[in-house]
Amino acid sequence: MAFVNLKNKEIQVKIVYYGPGRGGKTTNLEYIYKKFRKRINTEMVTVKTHGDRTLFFDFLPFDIGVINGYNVKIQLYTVPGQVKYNATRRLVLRGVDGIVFVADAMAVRREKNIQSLKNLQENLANYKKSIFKIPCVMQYNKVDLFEQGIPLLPVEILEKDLNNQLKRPSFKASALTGTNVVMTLKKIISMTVASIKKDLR
Amino acid sequence: MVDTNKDDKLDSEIAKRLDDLFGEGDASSVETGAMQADDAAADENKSKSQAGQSGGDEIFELKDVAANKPDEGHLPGDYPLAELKNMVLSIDWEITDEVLSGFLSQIDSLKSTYKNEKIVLMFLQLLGSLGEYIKTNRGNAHPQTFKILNSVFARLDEVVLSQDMSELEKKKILRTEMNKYKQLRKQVSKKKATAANKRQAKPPKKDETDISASKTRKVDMPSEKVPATAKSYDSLAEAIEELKQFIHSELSTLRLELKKIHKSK
Amino acid sequence: MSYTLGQKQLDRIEDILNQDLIDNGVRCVFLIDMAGNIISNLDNGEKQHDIYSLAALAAGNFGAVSAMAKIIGENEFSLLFHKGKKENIHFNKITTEFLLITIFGNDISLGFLRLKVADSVEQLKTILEPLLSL
Repeated sequence: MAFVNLKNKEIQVKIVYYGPGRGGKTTNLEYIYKKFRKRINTEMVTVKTHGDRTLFFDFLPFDIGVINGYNVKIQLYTVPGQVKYNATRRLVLRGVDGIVFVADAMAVRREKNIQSLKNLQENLANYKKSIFKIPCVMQYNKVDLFEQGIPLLPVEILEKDLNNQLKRPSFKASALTGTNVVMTLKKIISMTVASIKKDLR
Repeated sequence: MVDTNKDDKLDSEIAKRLDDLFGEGDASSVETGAMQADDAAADENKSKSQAGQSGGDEIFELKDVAANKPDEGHLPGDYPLAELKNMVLSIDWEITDEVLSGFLSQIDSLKSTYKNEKIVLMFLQLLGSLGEYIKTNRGNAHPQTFKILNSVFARLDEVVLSQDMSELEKKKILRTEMNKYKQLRKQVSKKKATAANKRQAKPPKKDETDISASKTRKVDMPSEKVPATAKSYDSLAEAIEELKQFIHSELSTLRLELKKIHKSK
Repeated sequence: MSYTLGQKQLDRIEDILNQDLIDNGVRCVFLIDMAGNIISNLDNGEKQHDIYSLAALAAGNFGAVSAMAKIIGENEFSLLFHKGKKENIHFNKITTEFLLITIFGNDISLGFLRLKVADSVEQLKTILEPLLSL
């Protein structure tokens, strides 16, 4: 839940990038960090294994300035995607305000995407949050692999598998090249901030 | 209607702010028409379901914490066991030669301070023995040693700080700690016996001959120091034996005195 | 980094952990790599924990604390220890790749545990260090 400091007139919003292992969650943040480092002016924290898999979380905080008299601070997190890190994922989800579900568009990852979404639903339920209510954006990542001839899932399949009931905004993206990374981010921020607008007034 | 206007204003403000922050950098973004249609539909759905997501917590101002009044008669400067307490807490945290040497020298110094208080002296003896044992055996010390060390110190602290505790009560406390000490000795001997069985018979250690000589000493007062060559469990047992004998003799003397006082009443 | 441990090495690791730690009253000990994979896990038979989650979280915790150390200008912290009412947990790094995690009750003092852990670590290093040069 968004953290509101009435004294400092500050709101902290937590957005978590969720999805199967190796799907591109960390790459999303790394792109944002590299691209906007000068403007964002904060450091990115990563807790990784030696093999570059996220071990605990990646963390990128930044201000988006004053809105309705409140200084809005965004905190982006990623979770470790591998199945064995479920306890860690649950921990990172604590207090989440908005989710970006980074699905892996590679055909071989279809089942992993579905499992990961189910896992997200379970972990949110642990905090009495509903996946149907929380601000969420779907990102179908790795579209750049199409040019390399790697079989990708058509958007229709991805939508049917993952977005049929949720009906969230979705973007085809490439975290590596940056395609729709920022659009995804802008969308989730505006959805999340709008959802706590009561506290902004 | 006013609310909708406010919402629109807020949305556009957010969008503008995000564009300022990220706008120029997203030249490569590609959105499909289907995605944009989905956006609109989802936004509509969203606006219906955003009832209860309230914000977070207020930050509470820290209240002034009232400065702790020192206990009467126990101002930091007056507390005689302060340094020893530090040492005991340090041992609990990390066992190093520095800390153990500091502990033992503090014991020696307190022994002179309390040379006329037999019971306190006994406590200090116990602590000293335990300290020597830990220093000698380090990681091979019995795990219970540290618990007993803390317990003996805590009781000593009680005895020293209490203003109206009777001699009898103090002795009772001392006896309890002595019993724990005896228990430890038994456990240490057992451990030693098990280890010895595993290792098979070995030539007797040099220490044991030293100790048999010291056993013949007449015990009037507790020995000033635990045998400096204490490198085995036997030396610990010897020290305990001496302490026991001393306590027994002192208790007998005190019992006699109490009887006298009682009779005269 | 990939490494392989043979049965003999694993047995030796268990012996060390049993003798130095479990036999001295430690409730549970596990040796993991920095990714949270369990190499060896022993307990005194009293309580069964979800060691897989523990291992993943311990690795994450250690990683997070190491990141904190760097932020405040430290290379690393020499003590990572959490004290509970009844149970406590202690972390010790072995080389850059492994972590030794011990869970112990209040009947063992931290100072004593640290001595025993230091002993174990010295012995475990002889088994684990050669793996790093492969």
